[in-house]
Amino acid sequence: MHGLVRAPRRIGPGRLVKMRDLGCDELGSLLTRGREIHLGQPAHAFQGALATVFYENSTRTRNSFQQAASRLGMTTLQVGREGSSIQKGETLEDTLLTLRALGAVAAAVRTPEPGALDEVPDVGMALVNAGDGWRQHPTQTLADLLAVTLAGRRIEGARLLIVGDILHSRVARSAVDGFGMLGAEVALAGPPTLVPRGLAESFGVEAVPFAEGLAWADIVMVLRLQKERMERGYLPSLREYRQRWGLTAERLRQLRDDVLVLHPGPQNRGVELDDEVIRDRRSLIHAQIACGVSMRTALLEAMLDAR
Amino acid sequence: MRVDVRGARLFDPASGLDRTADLLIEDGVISAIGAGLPHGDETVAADGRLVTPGLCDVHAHLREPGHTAEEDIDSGLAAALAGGFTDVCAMPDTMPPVDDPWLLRQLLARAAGKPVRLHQIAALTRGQAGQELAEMAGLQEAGAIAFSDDGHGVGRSDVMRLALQYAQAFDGLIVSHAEDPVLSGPGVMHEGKVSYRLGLPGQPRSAESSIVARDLELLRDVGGRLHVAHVSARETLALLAKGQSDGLAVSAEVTPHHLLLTDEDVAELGTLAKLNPPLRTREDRDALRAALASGLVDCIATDHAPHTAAAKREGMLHAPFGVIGLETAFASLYTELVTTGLLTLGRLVTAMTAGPRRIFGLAPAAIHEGALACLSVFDLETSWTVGPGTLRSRSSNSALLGRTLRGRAIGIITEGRWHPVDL
Repeated sequence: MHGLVRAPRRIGPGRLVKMRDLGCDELGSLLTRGREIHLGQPAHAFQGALATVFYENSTRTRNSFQQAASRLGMTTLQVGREGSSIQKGETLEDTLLTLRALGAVAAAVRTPEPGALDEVPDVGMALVNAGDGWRQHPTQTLADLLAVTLAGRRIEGARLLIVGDILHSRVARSAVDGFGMLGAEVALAGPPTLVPRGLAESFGVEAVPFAEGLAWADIVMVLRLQKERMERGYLPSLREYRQRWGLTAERLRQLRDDVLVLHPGPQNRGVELDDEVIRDRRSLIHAQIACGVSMRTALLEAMLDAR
Repeated sequence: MRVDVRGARLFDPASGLDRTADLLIEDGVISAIGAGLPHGDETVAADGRLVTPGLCDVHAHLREPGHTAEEDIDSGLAAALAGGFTDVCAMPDTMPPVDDPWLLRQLLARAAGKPVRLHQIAALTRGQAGQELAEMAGLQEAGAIAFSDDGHGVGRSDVMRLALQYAQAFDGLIVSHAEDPVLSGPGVMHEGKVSYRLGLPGQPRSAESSIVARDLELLRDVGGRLHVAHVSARETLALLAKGQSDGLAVSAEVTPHHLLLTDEDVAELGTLAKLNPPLRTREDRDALRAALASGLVDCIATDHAPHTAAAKREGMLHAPFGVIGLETAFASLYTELVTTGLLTLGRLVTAMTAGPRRIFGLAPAAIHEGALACLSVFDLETSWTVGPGTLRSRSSNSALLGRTLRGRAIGIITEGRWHPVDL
C-alpha cells in the first residue's frame, strides 16, 4: 500500500482524537460514568499498561493519566521527548508499536503536530489525544464538563465565555465542541490578534467584547497566556493584557454570584487571572484537576471495555 | 524521416483550426494537412484522437542536481511526456541552485536528444539568497529563459527593483514567487476558517497580494517584464487586471491544484494539500477559474514539486510544500473544467500552449503547413485512475491520488519523431 494514502479514520471507542469523535450519547454516558467514579464507585480492572507518550512537556495531564491507569489496575509506561527514540527519528507509529510489544493496551499521546494521531494506522491499542498542537485536547474538556456538572449546573443552555489566546488554544477548540455538543452557548473574547476576524465564525460561535461577555456568561473559562505570544509580537505587554483581558480581582467582584470560573492550568497568576480568582469559591480550578482523573478513568474504561 | 498521423481531430485555437484530417510531417516540418495523404516511415493511428500544439510547462521542479531521490531530469521528463508535454521549464531551486552559466549548460546538455525539450529558468540572485543579483546576462547567454528565486519570495524590495532594471539590458523575464516571508511566517496553509478550525498556522492572503502590489509598483517605477508565478489569491487578480490595463508588462500563471482544490481539502488530504502558496478558499478558486476563462491569466503551469513519501509523512507542520502535477495537469483540468462546461477546450489548450510560449519567448507551436512539428496527442475518451503505479515521476505526492480522470496523453511529436507514452 502506498504510504501517503491515509488509513480510514476510526471514530468511536478505539480512538479519541477530537471531541467530535464522540457522539452526544457517548459523551453523556461518559459523564455519567465519570461522575460515578468521581463519587467513589470502583472502576473496572484491566491487564496491561497505559503508555503516556508526551512529545511536549506536561505535568498535570501526564500525572492525571497515570492516576487514571492506577485506578484501572494498570501499570504505566512513559515515553518523553528527551533521550527517547523520538529524538532518533522514530515515527509515532513505530513508537506505539514498540509500546504495544512492551505490554501497552492504551496510549495517551501529546504532540505539537495537529492531527498527528489521524496519521497513525490501527496499532491494536486504544489511543487518546492528550493535546495535539493548537488543535484539540478532548480529555481537558471532559474534565471541565464534569466539573461544571458536579457544581450542580446543567450544560444545556449554559452560557460559556472563553477568554484569551483562542488562536493557539487546543483547550478552546475542544471546549467549543464539547460544551456545544451538550447544548451550551459559547462566546469568545480576547485581543483581536489572538481572536482574529473570522475565527469565532469558523467555530460556529460569536466573538464579543470581554466586558459584554462577562456580563452575559454563566461560566467563564480563562485560558493560559503563553509568554511566547508576547515574544512573537501578538501583544505589547503582559501588563496591558492583564488590564484589558485578565480576570482581575476587580472584574471578579463584578461577576454574578453564581458564575463559575474555569482555567485549564497552569495559571500565570497576575496575568490572565489574579490570586483572588484562584481562592474564590466560584473557581473550579482545582475541581477541574480532580475531575480530569475521573474522566480519564471513565474514558479508558469505556475504550478498553469495548475492545 | 516522415511521420503521418491519421484521422485525428486537429485543434489549434490560436488559428481557429478544428478539423479532422491527416497530417504529414517530413524532417520535422508539417508538410501537408488533408485527406488521404501518403504514408510515412511511421504511421500514428489517431482516429478520433485530439492533436494540439505541444503543451509547455513553465514551472517544474526537476530536482537535479542535488535532490535526485525526489526526481531527476530523466524521470521528470518521462513524467512530462506521460502528461503530453513537449516542453518543460525547470526551476533553479536545486542544490546547488542554478545561478551559474556552466551548471546551466550542463543541465541543458543532460537533456539533449530527449523527446521532451528542457528549458531552464535561472536563479535571480546568487544562491537564491535574495541578496545579490546572479550573473543574469551570462545565464541568459547560456540559455536561461527567465530568472526566479522561486521557492521563496524576494523579500528585499531593492533587490527586486534592481533585477527588474538590470534584466532590461537583455529583455529578461523575472518570475516572481510572490510571498512576503515575514507575513507568511510559519504558516502551512491558507489562514482562514479552515486553519482556525484545524489549529494550523496560516499564511494570510496578504502575504501574496502585498508583494504583487509592490512588484507592480516597481514595474511602474523602473520598467521591465514580470511574470507572477502560481497566483492563489483573488486580490492578486485584481492587481494584475489593473496592472495590465495600465500597460505594465505583467503576466501570470495558475496551477491545476489552485484551480481544482481549496483549503477545505487540507482537512482530508493532509500534507498532499500542503502547498505554497497555499490552497485558498472556494471564492479564490472560482476567481482563478474566471481569470483563466477571460484571458486575464493566459498560462497554466504545474509547479510540479516532487517529494519523497517519507518527507510528506512528517505531518502538516514539518512536511515540505508541494505536489507533483506534470502527469495529471491536462487530464485533471479537462475532466474537472472542460467536461463540466466551466472552461472551453480552446482556453485550456491556449493556456497550456500559446500562452506560456508567448510569455516565456519560446518557439511557437502551431498546426499549419510549414510549421515545425511540435504536437501533443490525447485520447479524450479514456478514463484512468491516478495511483502510484500509474505515475512516472520518481515521487508520488499527487493531490489527486485515487481520482478518476478522463483524457490521457498517448504521445508527442517533437524533432520529427513520434514518441508514444508507454501505457
